[in-house]
Amino acid sequence: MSLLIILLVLMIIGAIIAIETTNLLSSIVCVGAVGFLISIAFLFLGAPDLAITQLVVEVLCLIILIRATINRDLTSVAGDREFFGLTVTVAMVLVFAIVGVKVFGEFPLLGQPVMDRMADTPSAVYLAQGTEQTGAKNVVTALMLGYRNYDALGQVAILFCSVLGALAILRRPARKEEIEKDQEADAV
Amino acid sequence: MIDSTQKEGMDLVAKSVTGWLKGFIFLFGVYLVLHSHETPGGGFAGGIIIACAFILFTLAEGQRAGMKILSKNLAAKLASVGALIFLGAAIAGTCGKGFFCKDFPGAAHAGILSFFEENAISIYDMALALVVSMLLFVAFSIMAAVHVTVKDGKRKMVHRRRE
Amino acid sequence: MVYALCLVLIAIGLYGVVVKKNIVKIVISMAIIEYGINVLLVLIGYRSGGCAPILKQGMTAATLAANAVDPLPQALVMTAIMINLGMLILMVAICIRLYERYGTFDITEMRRLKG
Repeated sequence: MSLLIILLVLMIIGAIIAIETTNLLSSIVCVGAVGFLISIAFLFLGAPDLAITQLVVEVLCLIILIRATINRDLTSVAGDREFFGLTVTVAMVLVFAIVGVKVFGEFPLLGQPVMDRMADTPSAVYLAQGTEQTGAKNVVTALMLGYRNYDALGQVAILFCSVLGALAILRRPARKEEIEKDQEADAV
Repeated sequence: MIDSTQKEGMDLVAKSVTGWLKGFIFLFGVYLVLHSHETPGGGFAGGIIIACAFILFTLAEGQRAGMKILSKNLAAKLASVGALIFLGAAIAGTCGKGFFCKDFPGAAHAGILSFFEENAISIYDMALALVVSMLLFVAFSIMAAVHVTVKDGKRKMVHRRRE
Repeated sequence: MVYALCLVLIAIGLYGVVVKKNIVKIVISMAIIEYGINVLLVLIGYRSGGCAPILKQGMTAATLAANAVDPLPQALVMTAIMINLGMLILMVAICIRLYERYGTFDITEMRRLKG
């Protein structure tokens, strides 16, 4: 429990460094560190599936983010927006905090999931009957690909859409001069 | 990102280490997918690790060598095949009781299909791993390893950068 | 409380999205918001002293139901992690194209130049 608090405090420090530092490469590495700490937190929270997935997704995010910034001339940022943006942000964060404190009353206490208080929650049914109905000992996989297989179908659709979108965006060259340069190279 | 002076990939240390490790990484990804019903893992994590093996090989050896192993068009086609397997398995379950049903028709007879009879999750896992790995390799490849050129009046994405 | 720290993480990411000028910083702040939400969801389903929801040797389903953490938020967060990956791919593709069109990452400049 105290370990969780230490990990969260480290994550907050890493997030502040990632946002405030002026060198883009350092901020990308800090986001990688935050993701790695989240993977460790998932291990302590009893979610080994999620720890593995978060770790490898983190590595892929780093590769993709570094590709966006590695060859660019502008690797340092210009600063913050003007005063109006700052006040709007502070007001929004205050509203967020007040609403969050009210919502805390609805959350279960840390360490006592909803399954304990109510008897017929879906999680209790999945844990009790999941293994014999789907044949998988790992209840999370039984949930994702057995009971809730439509989610996996939606996953496949989302991944296809995002890759198709990236393909559609990156298919055209940015300026006309590049097309003419390629046509000259073709003609030669 | 990969210009003409780096066409051959990275230096010797990276190439040697990649040559030793790429088989193990691929095997670990396949292990995570195949054993997802009893150990943590699942189709998503295994698929991403398989994609990482191909990405590592493409980064270390350069675009030409990477294109020989797995090109962008082949990866896109394999991803579509994986999605069709997922849908086909779902529709085949319709013959039983409903969509995504557990019982496959005629699965009691064949030896290998009885594996799918007991845990029908496995075929969805394998199809999902195929789709996820090929899609992420396509995403990496269109961002970092291909170049848009105009050929015969139409735009294409080819692997080699023109110098 | 631990939930408060998660909300602080989400609020830090929100601050980054609204205030920063560099578009890569905005993408990074979006990633931090997503991480905070994932941790919050998994924290809701935590049981103190509980085990992972995997049936080991010699365990019956009843003991698993009494001892394990909640598996439902974990399945949802797994989906959420993959959706965040897809979103990041699309956002970074847009950043690359914006840089090649305008020559800068600064979003205040992108309104004035007409490339």
